[in-house]
Amino acid sequence: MKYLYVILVYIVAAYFFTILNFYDRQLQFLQPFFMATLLVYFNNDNPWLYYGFAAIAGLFMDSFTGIFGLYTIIFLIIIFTLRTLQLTVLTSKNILTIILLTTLAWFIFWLAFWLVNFVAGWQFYDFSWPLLAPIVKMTVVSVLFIIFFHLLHFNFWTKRHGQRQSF
Amino acid sequence: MLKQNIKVFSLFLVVVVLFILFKNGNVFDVGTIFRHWLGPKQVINSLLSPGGSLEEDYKNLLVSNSELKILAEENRQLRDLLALKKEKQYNMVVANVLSRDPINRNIVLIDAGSGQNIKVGQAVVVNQGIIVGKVIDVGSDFAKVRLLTDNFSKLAVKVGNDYQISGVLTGSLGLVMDLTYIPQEQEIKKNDPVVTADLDTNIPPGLVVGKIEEVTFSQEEVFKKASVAPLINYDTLSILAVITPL
Repeated sequence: MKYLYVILVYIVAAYFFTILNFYDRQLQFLQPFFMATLLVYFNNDNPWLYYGFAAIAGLFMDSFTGIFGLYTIIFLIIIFTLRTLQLTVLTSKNILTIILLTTLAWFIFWLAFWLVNFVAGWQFYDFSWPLLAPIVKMTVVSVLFIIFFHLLHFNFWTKRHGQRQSF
Repeated sequence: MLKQNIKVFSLFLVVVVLFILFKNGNVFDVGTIFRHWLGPKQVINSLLSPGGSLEEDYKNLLVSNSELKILAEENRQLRDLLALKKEKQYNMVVANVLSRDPINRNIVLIDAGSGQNIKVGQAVVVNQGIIVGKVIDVGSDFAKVRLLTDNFSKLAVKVGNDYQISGVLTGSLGLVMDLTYIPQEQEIKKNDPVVTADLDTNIPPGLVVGKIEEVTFSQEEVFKKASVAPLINYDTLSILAVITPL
C-alpha cells in the first residue's frame, strides 16, 4: 500500500506541476522525484526502503541528465543529513520539523548542485540569477505539497492502521 | 541508530560510486535499463479491430489521423536529412531526442552512441543541414548534445557576402546566439546568413546556423557584435542527425 501511495504522490505531483505551469526549465521532471524521495523518508522507518528509493530515483534522473551519478549522490546525502539531524538535534515529531527539514533538503540540494559544479568546473550548468526565482517558487510549493501529502498519509493511513508516526 | 544510518548510507554511496565507475569504464551503464524502458519506441499504427459503432470508428480515425500527421512530419524530416546526405555526401546517423537536462535545457540526450560511430565534437543537424549543436559526451547507447544556444557553446562561423568574414558564435541565455570577434571594418547586416567555418575538422563547412538579427558596435571596441537568431525552434527538436566521418 505504501509503495502505491508513493507512486500516487508522484503522479499527482507531476500533474499539478504541469497544470500549475511550474515548468520553468523543465524542473517539473525533477521536483516530483525529489518530493517522493522525501515523502518516503518521512513516512517510513526502514532505512533500506528510503535509501533504496533515493538511490533508484536518483539513478533514474541521472539516466536522462547531464552528469551520471550527480542526482543519486545528492539525494543520498540529503537523506543522510536529514536522518542524522533527526537522531541528534531535531528529534521532535511535529509539522514544523517537516517544514524545516523539507526546506533544508531543498537548500542542501541546490547548494550541493552549485558546489559540485563550481568545484568540478564541468561547464554544464550555468547558475545565474534568473534561475533563482523558479528555485524559490518551487521550494515553497514543494514544501506545501509535502506537508499536504504527509498529513493525508498520516490521517488516512497511519492513524487508521494504528501505526506509530515514523517520527 | 546513528551508526546504522552511517552504515546504510555508506553502503548505498559505495554502490552508486561503483555504478559511476562501471559506467565511466564502459563496463556497465545502469542508466541503460531506465532508458530502455522509457526511450521512444517505433510508432505503430494501432487501429483497433473493426466492428465497433460509428462513434468508435470516428474516434479511432481521429487517433490514426493524428498519428499519420506525426508520421508525415517525421517522414518530411527524414526525407530532408536523406536529401542532405545525398547532396553533400555526408555520413549521418539519425537519432531521436530522449530527454533534455532538467536544469540546463540546452543539453539534449539522443538515442545513438558509440555503437553508431558517434564521437565527441561531431556536428548535430536537423533537416536541410541546419546545425543545432555538437556532441559533448558519448555512451554505448546514447550521446549528449550541447545546443548552440547554450551559454558554454562555441562555434567558428562565417558570415557576410561570399562568407569571407569569420567570427565566433556563442550561446546567449539559452535563447539566441551571439556572434563576436568580427573586425570593425567588416560589413555585416541584418538577415545575413551565418554558416559554419572550416576550422573544426569534425564539423563540415557551410552548415547553416541562423541569420543575423541585430548588429551592435561602438567606436571604442575593436570588434563588432551581432545577435544571431536560429532558423528553427530549438524547443521542438525531436529527430536529429549526427554527421559522422565517411
